[in-house]
Amino acid sequence: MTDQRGFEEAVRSGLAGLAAAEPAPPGLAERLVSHSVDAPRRLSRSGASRSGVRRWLAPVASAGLVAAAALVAVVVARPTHHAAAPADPAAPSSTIASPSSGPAPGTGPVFTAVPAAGSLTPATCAVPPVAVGGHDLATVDRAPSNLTIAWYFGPKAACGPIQLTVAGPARAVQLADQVRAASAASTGSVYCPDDDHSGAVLYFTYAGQPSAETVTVNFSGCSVLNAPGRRPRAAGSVITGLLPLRPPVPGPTSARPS
Amino acid sequence: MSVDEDFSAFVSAQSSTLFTTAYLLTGNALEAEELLQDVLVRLYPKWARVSAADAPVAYVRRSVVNQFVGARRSARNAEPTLSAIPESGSEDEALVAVLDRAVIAELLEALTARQRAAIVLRFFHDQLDDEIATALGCRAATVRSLISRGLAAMRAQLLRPAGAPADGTEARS
Repeated sequence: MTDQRGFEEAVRSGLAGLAAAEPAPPGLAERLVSHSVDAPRRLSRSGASRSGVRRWLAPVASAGLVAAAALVAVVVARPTHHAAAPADPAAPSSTIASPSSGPAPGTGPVFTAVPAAGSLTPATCAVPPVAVGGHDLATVDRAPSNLTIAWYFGPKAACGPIQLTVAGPARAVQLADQVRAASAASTGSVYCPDDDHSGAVLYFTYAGQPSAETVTVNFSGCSVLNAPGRRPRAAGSVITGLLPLRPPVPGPTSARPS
Repeated sequence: MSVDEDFSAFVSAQSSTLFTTAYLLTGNALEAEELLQDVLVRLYPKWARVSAADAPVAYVRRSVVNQFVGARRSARNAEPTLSAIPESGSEDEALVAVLDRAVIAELLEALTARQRAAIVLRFFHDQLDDEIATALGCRAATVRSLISRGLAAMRAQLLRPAGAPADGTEARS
């Protein structure tokens, strides 16, 4: 019969074995220092809070924006079509910048600048439309050093400055791998019901690279991830990876990914 | 030495042991790095105060534990699911089985966040009740209860016949 002390010793031994089986990954200290020191500075340049790695840049929804969001909510309560064509001109617009250098040639990723906190102030919180097309799938490079995520909760949510969060290298690498592994979305004209226009734009940054590689993820409707001039991928696994990072939905109504 | 240099030196020296703590708490290398990273980013702006503590590594470890417990508490999604409980057998067989790291990883998953933190701090870091109580923000008696209930839960899981559902009798904090 095993006594209590024997069981405790077994647990002690088991924990030691478990710890020994998973040593710290290579480069851990460098990543931790780099992210701890650099991420707060990057976000604080535009006056963001310094309280934590994921700084929810609290939306300050003005009465005008709330009213606009309420109006648009009526308009967008309809299905959309995802197709290899320019973005639907009727879709809610955003002031998010187009990629600064346009789609890169070949199979590489699409580059753009990482937005500063508070710089994205769309008229609604609809995820920006993307003009998809071409032969190459949306992609990003492996091993990003950081990931900035711009969250769009859809026009049903109160809309203020778009919330940005910063994920660290481990999560960035995981999501980049999920993007790269995602299967191609269905081609042609596809009916996408229940599109609440919620989603996220992912800005993957890399050591020594000034611009970011971006993909846009649609949480609802066809649930695809897009990049300008690229073919969409199915976003299911990426959405699953993103949900734990998502800040609370602001405003009087909730727009949850389906 | 500047604050940045001190911070870098600390992380270089202690990241491995702090990662181990985070890994034993989370059971996942990716989550462990995220947990440790979250804590360090939060502590970096006040690093001068942290480094002035009697034992900075203990301070950071307490922060890791608190962050882990707080995150699990807010998630509220952690009903245990055990996918690879060993076949039922005698307790002597169980003692051998618990030495297997895959098994103990499963058993830890059966615990609440506070039970898991108490078990890791006691049986991996060899901390005393008072030290664990400080880390968890509770009384020493509560620590003893957490450890006792945690061990009992692990033992019960270990001896449960394969495929038997969790009975949910363990109080979850």
